[in-house]
Amino acid sequence: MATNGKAAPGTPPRRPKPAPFTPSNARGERPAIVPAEDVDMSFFTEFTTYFAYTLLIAVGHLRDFWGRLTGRTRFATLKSKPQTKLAPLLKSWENFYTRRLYDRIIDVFNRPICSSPSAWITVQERAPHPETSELIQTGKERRCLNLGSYNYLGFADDWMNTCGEPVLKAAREWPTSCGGTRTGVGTTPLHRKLEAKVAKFVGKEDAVVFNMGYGTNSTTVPALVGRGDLIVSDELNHSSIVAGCRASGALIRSFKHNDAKALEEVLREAIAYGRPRTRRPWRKILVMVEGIYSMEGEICDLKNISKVAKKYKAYLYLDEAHSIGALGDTGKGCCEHCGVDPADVDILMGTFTKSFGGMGGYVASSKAVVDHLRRTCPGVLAHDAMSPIMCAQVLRALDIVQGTVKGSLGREKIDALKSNSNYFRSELQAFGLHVYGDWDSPIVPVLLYNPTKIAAFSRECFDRGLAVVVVGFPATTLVKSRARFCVSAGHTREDLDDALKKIKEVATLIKIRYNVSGFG
Amino acid sequence: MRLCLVLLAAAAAAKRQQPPPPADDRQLFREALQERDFKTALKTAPAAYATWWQQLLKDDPYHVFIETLLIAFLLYLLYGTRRAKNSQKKEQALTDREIDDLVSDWAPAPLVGTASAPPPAMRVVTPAAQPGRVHVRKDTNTAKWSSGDPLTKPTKQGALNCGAFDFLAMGSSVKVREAAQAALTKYGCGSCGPRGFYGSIDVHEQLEARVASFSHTKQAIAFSDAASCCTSTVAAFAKRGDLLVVDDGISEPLRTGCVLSRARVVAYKHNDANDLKRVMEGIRQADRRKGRAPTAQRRFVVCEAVSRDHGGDVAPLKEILALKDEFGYRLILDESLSWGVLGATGRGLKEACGIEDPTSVEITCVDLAPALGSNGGLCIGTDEVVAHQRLSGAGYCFSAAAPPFYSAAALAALDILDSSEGQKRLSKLRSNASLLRKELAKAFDGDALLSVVGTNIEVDLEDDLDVPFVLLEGASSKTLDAIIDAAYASGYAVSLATPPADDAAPALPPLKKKPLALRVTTTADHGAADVRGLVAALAKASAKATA
Repeated sequence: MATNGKAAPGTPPRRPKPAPFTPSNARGERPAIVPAEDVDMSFFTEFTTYFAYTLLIAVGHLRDFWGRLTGRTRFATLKSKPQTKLAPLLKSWENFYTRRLYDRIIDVFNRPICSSPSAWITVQERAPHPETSELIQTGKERRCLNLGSYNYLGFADDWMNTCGEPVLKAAREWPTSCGGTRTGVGTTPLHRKLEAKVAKFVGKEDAVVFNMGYGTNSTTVPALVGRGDLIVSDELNHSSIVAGCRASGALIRSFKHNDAKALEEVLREAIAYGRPRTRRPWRKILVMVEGIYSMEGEICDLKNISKVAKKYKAYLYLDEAHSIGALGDTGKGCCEHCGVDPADVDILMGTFTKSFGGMGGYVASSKAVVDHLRRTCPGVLAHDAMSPIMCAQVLRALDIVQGTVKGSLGREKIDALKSNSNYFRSELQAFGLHVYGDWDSPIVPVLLYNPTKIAAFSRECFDRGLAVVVVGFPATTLVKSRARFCVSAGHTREDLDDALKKIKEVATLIKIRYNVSGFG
Repeated sequence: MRLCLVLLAAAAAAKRQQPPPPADDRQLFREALQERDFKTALKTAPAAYATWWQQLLKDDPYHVFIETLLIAFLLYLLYGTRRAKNSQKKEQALTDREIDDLVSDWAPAPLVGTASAPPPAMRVVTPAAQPGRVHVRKDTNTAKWSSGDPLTKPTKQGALNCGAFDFLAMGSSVKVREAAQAALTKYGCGSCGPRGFYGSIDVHEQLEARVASFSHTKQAIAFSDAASCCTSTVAAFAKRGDLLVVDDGISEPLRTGCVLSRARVVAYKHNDANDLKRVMEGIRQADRRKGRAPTAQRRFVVCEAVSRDHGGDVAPLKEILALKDEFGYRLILDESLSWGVLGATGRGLKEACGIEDPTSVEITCVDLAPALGSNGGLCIGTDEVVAHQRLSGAGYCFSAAAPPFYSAAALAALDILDSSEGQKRLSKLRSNASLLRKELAKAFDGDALLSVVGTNIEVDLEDDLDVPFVLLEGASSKTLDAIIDAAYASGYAVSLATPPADDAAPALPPLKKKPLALRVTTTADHGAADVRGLVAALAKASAKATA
């Protein structure tokens, strides 16, 4: 067990603990995957976390009751309304959660910034309005070290020197919007060039690009599978994949997160017993996994998963939203990192939002599949095309990553990201925090568990000039709230040391050193 | 089983009735217990039990025999039968070897079906030197894009762009482009994160406030893509158990939103207020039959203000508003193609229909591309509508925020729209739109190949407004392709409207078939001569294709 110091006596030795801070190479010789469930939550933490939620909910209901009774509340939903024919717009737990739990710590989310999302950002300070309790900007600004943005390769830091020139040229020549779909007037030479380049970069025959990463998943999956097909999806897949799967009309089964054995069991059973009720064989089976899980920081066990998929003749769909550009020796993503031939993954999907500092998504696959998408996928036929200016950005970023321009800069960025990530992770682990995820992954989640610690961690860090992302329900399970750091190639070692010093201070203050003591 | 339990109970009762004779060990045990000396009690317990047992055996061996038998029978009932059932199940279950065989037998269908037709010929559009004009080339050789620079421009001056949604010609506006460049210089390109996690850049918030105040609504929430704005909005409010009454001509994003919501979906005939009333009456009757209160479920009418796939038809908003208020529904209105375009000052269909009350439509989706020449969408409405989506709008929460330069460009375009310059552009656009529709109707009345889709006759508009795009339906994509080529040769670039097939949504009722059509648009930059020239070119192209 890599992240947890003590194992109960008698338990078989788990995978060896990786040596701290050793940048791994691409040929699979990397420290083993640390499954999230290996990070154990102590009974005390579990109890206090559930207790805190119980208390919050009880108090929330009390306040709701009081608000309804007296009408003295700022929430319109609680005030008695004149007789109406309409059912309330919002009801149930979700609204209660927003009102009584989320609203208490609303200041730690959606913090507006007024600078580029680079290693250092300018955050606009907010304070609650004395009467309405609404957060309003105070006009003050604070310079913070940014550990929250998906600026993996640091293109937001040196944008003017790396991408500025060609993108600004494009902005002079092209409109922001194509004003149409890809099949209408929304295809420019830049789109075609980008598609060819992406396909070559990830090692596929062809690719098609979309305006939005979320839309890529949510429209591509329905274009590939439908009724009579089975989707076997990792239980922690991103919302966009879930949306795509649900919109497709195919049957969905999930398997235990990142567990090739569990996948095998699901596939065996599915093929052996066929469709429910009718028991006809499935038309086809699509396995959906992600390269890096954005809330766990875990890298897909692609080697084993692709083997299983191949063995059971299932098609494999890999979402590289976070891994493309960030993983692998040359930034080619999860396949390169895990030493898997891209040919063994049927569909490679990815986004340009993260490593490439742009926006949009791509799907790379065989010519037949991509042509099929061009013919039927709503993301191509009905949605706005990607902006040509954005194409210019991604083209340039790809050129830099591949080393065709700016010499070795791309390689340096990728190496810096890796060494920064591993350094940051090893330091946090050594300090006794519960850290999720794998080596080389730029996403470093640190478990907070307690709902009160979500806000405390974020506020204390912000006071010390650190912009960190904290995540709670519904993005994670109820008790596994966490702080999620995104490391960037734009961070210098001094930046990280400074951040680590402050994080350690805060961690001691709010007691989250769960590896040192069960009480945090 | 029941009999056996009764027997057991009887036996136990019999046992209790017999007073056990005293024994030394047992006495000791009992005394220790009474004195609360648990240590001694624990020590003497086994011996006491043994004595008790021996005594029982001696006193009544038959009793012990029968009781043991009963207990054994009970255990058999509990475990033996279950095991038998399990082994039966195991017999039915496939062995690993059988599963292996099945796996090797199973032949999946190919990931994509074998293509019946080649993909539509994509056309590659490059802007010409003159604003509003483009070069169009058919993208036949895909290999060449990977090597060399395909950006070399053809020498001729290009064609007038009559296919794009950039109604107010904001895309070529110098001010808008400068704003985009300034934002790029300041913020870089991407936003690098979702809005919740330091992706909220000041321009996003400015845009939200500006769009809300422009539309006279309380608040707005910005999405990075217009289509996902529609999808996400429908799915954020309607849930399982709710009811969606949808126009059967809605375009793909709304349709997908309906599927994802898992609500019950009922369709009414495209833009037909009478049919909407019929559907609502039906639901009211069902309510009465089932004794269900109409407020028991959330109910929404979902429609497009201007139909994307059905030739720019305008929804009968006044009637829909009256009906939804009468029957207790909320309206989700997709104003993608009307916001910033219709109405005297570009406030959309509400203004065009003369509806004063800004809260009459509960939830409105707008698109920044058609009117403002930028990318992205917004949902506007009350505080409740917007605040809810900040945590529950999937396309907002789980996607990166729009690049700041999109928002900056939209803000600049909105400044133009809200000025006298914007008024000029709007009135120019209106006269072009009306001219285009009239001319096309004249030219293609009784045409063999093309026919105008969509008519606005039933809609009660204050002004003689017209939607600045028209769909021309054709029989096959091959003919349409030929017409596009011919029109381009005469200097006009029009585009193919390709709505995706509906078969991907089995959860929905059958929807209206989308026409295969050409899309012809006009912008505020065009002159009357341009519009006439466009129609003439299309007529010529159609005639040529017929011949």
